[in-house]
Amino acid sequence: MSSARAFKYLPPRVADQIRGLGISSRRPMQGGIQGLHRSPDFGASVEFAEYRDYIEGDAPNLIDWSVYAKTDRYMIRRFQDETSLRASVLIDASASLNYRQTGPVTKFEYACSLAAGLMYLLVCQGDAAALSFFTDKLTQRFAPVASTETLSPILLEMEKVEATGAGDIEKSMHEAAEMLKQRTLVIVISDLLQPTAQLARGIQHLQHNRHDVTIFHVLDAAEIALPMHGLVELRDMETSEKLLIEADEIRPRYAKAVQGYLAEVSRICTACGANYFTVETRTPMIETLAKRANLF
Amino acid sequence: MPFFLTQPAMAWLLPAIALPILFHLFFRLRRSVQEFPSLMFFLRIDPRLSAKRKVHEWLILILRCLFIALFILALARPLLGTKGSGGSVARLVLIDNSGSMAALTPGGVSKLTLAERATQKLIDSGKKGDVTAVELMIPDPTATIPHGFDASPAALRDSVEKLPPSDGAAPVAKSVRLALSSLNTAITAERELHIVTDLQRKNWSRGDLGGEVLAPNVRIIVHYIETAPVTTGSVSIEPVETAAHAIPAGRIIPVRVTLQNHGPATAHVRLNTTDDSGKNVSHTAEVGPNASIMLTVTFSFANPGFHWAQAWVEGDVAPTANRACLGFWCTDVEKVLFLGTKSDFAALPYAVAPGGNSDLSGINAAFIGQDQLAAGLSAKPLAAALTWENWPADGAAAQALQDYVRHGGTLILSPSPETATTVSRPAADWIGARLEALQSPKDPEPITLLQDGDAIWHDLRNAEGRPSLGLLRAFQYRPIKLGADWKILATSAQGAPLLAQRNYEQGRVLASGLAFSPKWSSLPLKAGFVVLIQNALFGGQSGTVPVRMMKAAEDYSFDFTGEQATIKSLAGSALQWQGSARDFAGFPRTGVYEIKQQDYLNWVATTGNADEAVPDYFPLGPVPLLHDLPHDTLPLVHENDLADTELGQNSGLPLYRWLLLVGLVVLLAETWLANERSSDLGKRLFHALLPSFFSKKPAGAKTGSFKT
Repeated sequence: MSSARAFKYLPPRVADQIRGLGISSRRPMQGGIQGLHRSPDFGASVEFAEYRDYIEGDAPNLIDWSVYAKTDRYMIRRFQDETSLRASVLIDASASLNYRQTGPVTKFEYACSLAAGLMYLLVCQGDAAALSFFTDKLTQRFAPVASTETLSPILLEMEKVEATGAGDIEKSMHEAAEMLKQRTLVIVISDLLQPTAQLARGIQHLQHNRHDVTIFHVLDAAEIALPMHGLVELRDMETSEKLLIEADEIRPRYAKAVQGYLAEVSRICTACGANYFTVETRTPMIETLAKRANLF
Repeated sequence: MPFFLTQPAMAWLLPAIALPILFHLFFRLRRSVQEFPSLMFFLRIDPRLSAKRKVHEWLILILRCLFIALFILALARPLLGTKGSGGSVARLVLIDNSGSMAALTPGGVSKLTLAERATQKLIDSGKKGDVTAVELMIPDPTATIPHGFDASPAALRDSVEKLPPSDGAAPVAKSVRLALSSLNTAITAERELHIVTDLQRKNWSRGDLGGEVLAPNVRIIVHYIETAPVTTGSVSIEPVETAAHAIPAGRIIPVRVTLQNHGPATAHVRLNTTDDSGKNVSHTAEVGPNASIMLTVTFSFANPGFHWAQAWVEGDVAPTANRACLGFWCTDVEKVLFLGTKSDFAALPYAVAPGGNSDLSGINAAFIGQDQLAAGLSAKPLAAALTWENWPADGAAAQALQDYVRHGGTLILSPSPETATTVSRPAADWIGARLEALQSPKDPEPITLLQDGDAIWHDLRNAEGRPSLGLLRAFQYRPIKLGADWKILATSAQGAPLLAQRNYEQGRVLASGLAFSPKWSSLPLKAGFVVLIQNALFGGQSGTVPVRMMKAAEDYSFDFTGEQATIKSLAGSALQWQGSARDFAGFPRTGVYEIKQQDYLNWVATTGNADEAVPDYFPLGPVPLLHDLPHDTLPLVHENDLADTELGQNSGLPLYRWLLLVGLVVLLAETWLANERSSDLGKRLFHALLPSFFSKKPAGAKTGSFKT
């Protein structure tokens, strides 16, 4: 980061701490340039892939003469290609992300910080990262960047974005799946407040298009523990619908329902081959990034 | 079963029941709204949330209201029923200690003794939680009865042992009122007023209890003590009138007393008198059945100051009213100055000092000239007498005369009997009166006496209370021309004022248009003439005499109500008392008492009340005085006759303890319900106890639908 300005979502101290982390993909990626990631194609890396018979037209220098000496056959040794990674970070910008009760920041601020950290890591390891915000559709898109210089404008723009309106995660995922033409590491950062069946359809669409999907489920601890007491009238931040509850009375059942929901989401993600992380806004961002970085 | 409140004023607090409802509504309005990311989890888990919670809230609200209602009701001390419930009893025994209670019962004991025993029986009958108090109808400073309901039964029992009978008449209505008031201070379920009395008709016919309302838990029981019939003579003594003014020392004091026989047989009694000098005199008397006689006894005291005497009837069966104590205030031998010669005043000097000296009246008559007037008046004589014609010409003498009257002297003005002229020296202007021309009617004119209540007619009134001196005629007279402030005492048939008096600052002026000569009127020849003149001399002094005569048990008012007083008896009933005058109970018996307050001495002489000797009693039955108050009249022949039904065994059931207990249970239930969320057991119980329809899922309710 050569910018003299301290970014809201990526302070220099945080950037320094996360610089050593790396992000990889479960699936082979198709990058534009030579990179650190496995490609579905064969290339010139040092990683052996397979032997095949020499066929006419192959360059003679590809023949493995040691094998010829032993088997009297012309065999060619092939190596795995390594390529750069394309990543697309999708941030949920619906109004429910503005919630903050026990954490130091709102869920949206945490999501933005997490996205900034991820993009910074990707750029640092030579990959390209794009950014999109969505509510009930993709609302704002930033083209992929592959250097810190080109990342800076995006970080500045992120600070201007506000979470507002109702969200539709499935629809946004469908739209992203259609938009991304190449294999991409899709990172979704959201509170996932939508029925699990709809979520599953969105994730499956992305997976079907051979994208590697990682989902960060951002929650405030109060959403799980329900810390208020007595009679409380709640208002839905997206629909403005109101509900009178006796918090102490329903807390256990509420917590059970939330835990069941989280387990269901986790199960769906696993079934779809997506990486799923539940993140509380109280968790330091470097810990969250480290979870993802150490995954493979 | 009747239900009533013993402290109904507490019912005014009942609107406080609405407080929890007001608080509930207030806090409901102030309930905060919190934003939350999504309601989908709430809608998923429990769409019946509100209904259940409302039931919970209303239950708590009802319990809170119920607790307040029970608490207020408990404060109001409700009672259930009046019979046989066994609640605590406050019992006040009101003992009639009037003079008539000294008489005997058919059983041979005095009624007061039987009343004491019955009272002790009532005290002993108290159960645990009961309280008892004893009051006397006639307050007695020698009695040591503890006041209020806090006394121990043993102390109370001892205090009513051998109560001395009084000589007074009981203020029944007043004492019943006070007893009911005192009874209302007791904090018990049931209250009983026991009146132990002989229902003597005179006592129980005085006063009125109108307006007195009996509380539902108060019961009045009159224990009627029968009196042994009187078969012999029963004589009471009562002084008719005693001198209310100072009496010159050495003067013979006649006191008329009435002896009244209340029995059916002739009474042969002896009337004894004694005084503080030790002089004893005895008279025998015979009083016919239901008749009365009047006797005159005399006393004489040589020295000025306070003196007392006693008179009592001996050989009589009357239990009371057979003793009278008398008090007198004697001054030194007085002097009346006559300006002129004896003939100028005709019979007046003889009325002032019968016999020519002070032996009979304690007054000397001194005749002086005008040059001696100022010096004579400086000695402050009892009175000064002048003739209208001889008004002092000397200015100093006239001024001395005015100063004398101004400072409390008595001036008597009369015309000279021998003066025929109508021309005379006018009296000074401050007199405010002058004589007119001599009138000599052809026929003697009757004299009319006025101002019936004036002190000058003391001892001169007839049975109708009007002044009477027999047939009075005026043969000649000089009408008095009176100014303002004069009070006419006698007039001629023509209405001309003949005798008048006025106050002049602290003194008095008596003006006469008649010379006190038989040639002018028949007045000097009348027996009451001496009395009239003596009254004229002493009439203005009654207020200065520090002696008060009263009947036993009458109210006594101290000169300094809030000050300390020391009282000791000089004769008659023994009494030694010291304390605040406000706390003094009174003089229940006959006696002579010296009262000291600050540096002043007063004396009180009390006599018995003849009404108390009258053997006339109400029969057993409803008491007329208590006609507005429900009561039971029960015969009391022996203290053991007191049955359980009379000893407060029947009483209402006090509910306040039960109400407090139920209130406590309600409070515990409220506490449990309000905190049931913190207890798993409580929660399970709560949900188990809720009606099942609250647990059923309403048709069409949202069941876990997520936001879209």
